[in-house]
Amino acid sequence: MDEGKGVKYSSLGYVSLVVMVVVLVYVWCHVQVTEVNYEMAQAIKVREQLLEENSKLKIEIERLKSPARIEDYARKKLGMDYPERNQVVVLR
Amino acid sequence: MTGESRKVLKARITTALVFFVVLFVALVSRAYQLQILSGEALKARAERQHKDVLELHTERGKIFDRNGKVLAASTHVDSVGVHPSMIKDHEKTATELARILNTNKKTVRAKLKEQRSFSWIARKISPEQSQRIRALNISGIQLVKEPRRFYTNRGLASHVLGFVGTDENGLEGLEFKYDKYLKQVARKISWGRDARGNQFCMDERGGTSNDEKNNHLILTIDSRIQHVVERQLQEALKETGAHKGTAIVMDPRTGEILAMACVPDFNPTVFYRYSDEIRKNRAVADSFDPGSIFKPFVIAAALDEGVVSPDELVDCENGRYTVGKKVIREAENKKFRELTLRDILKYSSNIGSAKIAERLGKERFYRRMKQFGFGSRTAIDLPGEASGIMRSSELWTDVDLATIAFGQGVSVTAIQMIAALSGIANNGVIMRPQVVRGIIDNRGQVIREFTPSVMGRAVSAETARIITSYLTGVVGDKDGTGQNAQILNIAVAGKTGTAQKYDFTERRYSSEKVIASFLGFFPANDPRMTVLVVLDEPQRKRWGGQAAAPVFREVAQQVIRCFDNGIGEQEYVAEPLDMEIKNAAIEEITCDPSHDGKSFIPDFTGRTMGEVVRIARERNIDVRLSGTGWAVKQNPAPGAFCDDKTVCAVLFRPAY
Repeated sequence: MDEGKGVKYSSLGYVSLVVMVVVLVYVWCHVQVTEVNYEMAQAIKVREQLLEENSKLKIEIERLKSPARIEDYARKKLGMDYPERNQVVVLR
Repeated sequence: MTGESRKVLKARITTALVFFVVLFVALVSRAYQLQILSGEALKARAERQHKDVLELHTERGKIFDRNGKVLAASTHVDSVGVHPSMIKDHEKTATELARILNTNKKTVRAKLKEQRSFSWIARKISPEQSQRIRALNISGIQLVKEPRRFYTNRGLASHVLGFVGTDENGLEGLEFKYDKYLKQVARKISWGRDARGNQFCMDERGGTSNDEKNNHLILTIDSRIQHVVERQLQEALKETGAHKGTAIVMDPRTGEILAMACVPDFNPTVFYRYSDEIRKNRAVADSFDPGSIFKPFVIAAALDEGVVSPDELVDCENGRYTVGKKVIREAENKKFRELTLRDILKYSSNIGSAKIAERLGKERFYRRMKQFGFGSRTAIDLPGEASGIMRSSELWTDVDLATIAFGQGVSVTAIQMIAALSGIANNGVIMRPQVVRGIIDNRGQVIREFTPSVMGRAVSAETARIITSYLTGVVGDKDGTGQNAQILNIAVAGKTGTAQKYDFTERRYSSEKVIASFLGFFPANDPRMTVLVVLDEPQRKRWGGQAAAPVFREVAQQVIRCFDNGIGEQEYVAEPLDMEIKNAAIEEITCDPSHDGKSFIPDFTGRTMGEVVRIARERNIDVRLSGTGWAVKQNPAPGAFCDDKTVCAVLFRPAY
């Protein structure tokens, strides 16, 4: 009779352990998901900042490449001018 | 247990029961109130507290030129706002903000003390300013991201591009016309916040969905040509003292506008600093009396209708021709007797033009001018286009017919003029002018393509060819009015115009105020570009040939020399070398006159231009050079005898 009780208690213990492990795994998964969500939030913020910076830099590049700026620079700083006819050789 | 104690126990149990029942009812009531009565409101409140929405980086569509260069783009910049109730030290905050924002301290202080939950201090500040404000870390001061439109070339093509308002809505130009394509709807993702205020993402895709529908415009404008045109117009304004200037460059084969400039221009980023008059795209919205640049269309119509023939002489009445009660004279009181059609254009004879219009008759003349597109909108894809004024022929008097023939009493827009001449350049077929080539999405896929479309045929190809040859004489001939538009080794067809402006106060044409213009295309035998230059009220150099033709020449020369546009200098004289050579404004190199007069023409083929010149000089032979590269053809042929009157024409072509 005592043996039977022992068997019952030990199987109850096993079942409880399994349930506990399952619950822990479940909780652990949720913790992981939450952590990833936090990381995603950070990553999205960084991405947004980089996108903004990128578009600003692109605009800056276009601004630096504007014909008016290049012509002014070439004329004033480099002393250049539009070529005369005899200075142009067409190579094709 | 005695009866007494049993009673006490019962009373206690009853009391406890009542207490718990009351408590239960209270709890249930409260639960009912929280869950059922105010459930929705509380749920929303809770969501507000722990849920947030993040607006993702979205931009208004870009505008590119035909070579893919960005002309307009948007990005986000910070705006500064304040929650006045949260500000502790008003004085210090106002001082620091005013210093960073370069504004009045009093104004900032007033904003900080406003009885509102939130108010703006400055909108769309520079990145440096926002960085400095962020560094201050003042509670109650908030930096909010807002989109801002940048025009990367400042005023370049500003009248075509237009501008946007504070909320990024297109207000003028292409920004307005194509607003529904360029406008970007904000993209949002769910955003959670925990008890500590840390944010976490609640959107499984992390905002990476491809629901972004960014559309971009591709224009027909070439920003390099646009720059050259604007620069030359500005120079012309300085030189002639003109109040305003307009220029358009168009590809006559397709109707694509390569450049459209109005000077003075404006910076669209700060459009509010300029008057409406400066911001108006005068190339499409303003009409003017065209003056003599209208004459080619009159002659073309007459030729096409067969009322005159190319070899006919028109009596120009020795400079004085009476129509009704009005005496028509030539410009500068010149006097001509009999002129050919070619000479009528070359000398820009008012009387010749008026007499040809008379032969056409009012109704036919009106119909033909309508065929050229005068008096109707071209339907160019720009807002605010005017139709010009071409009164019905039934309302014309005989004087009207005569004056309209030389461009007085009719009102046209710059875009109508260039479209009409492009029709002549394009074998008589007028193409619809267009500034937008297409619309693409974020991945570069074409959403809409605007292919060139035909407006109609104005004249026959034969008539167009004849008019082109006449117009080539206007520029190429030594006594033509358009000599200042000559380009070395390229045949130019064009017409000058000097129109008196109508003085509305005195109700007559002013002798002081004029519009100087030049309308032409090149190369004449294979037209690639049509150019119109209009200068309003030049104070010095008041004639079209003096003021506007040089602008055309400078623009054309820079376009030919600096850009890879396939315009070869040699094309025009490729065949009948000896016949048309004078029209091509060929470079002439005169040899030393003291030669013996007896020589044989050497073989120049395969030699460079420098070698040909050296050999010719050594042998005292006059040569006319055309084209670039290496000599490929010559006339007379090698070995032919030549004397001191012989001129050897040599054609050069680049090596492919």
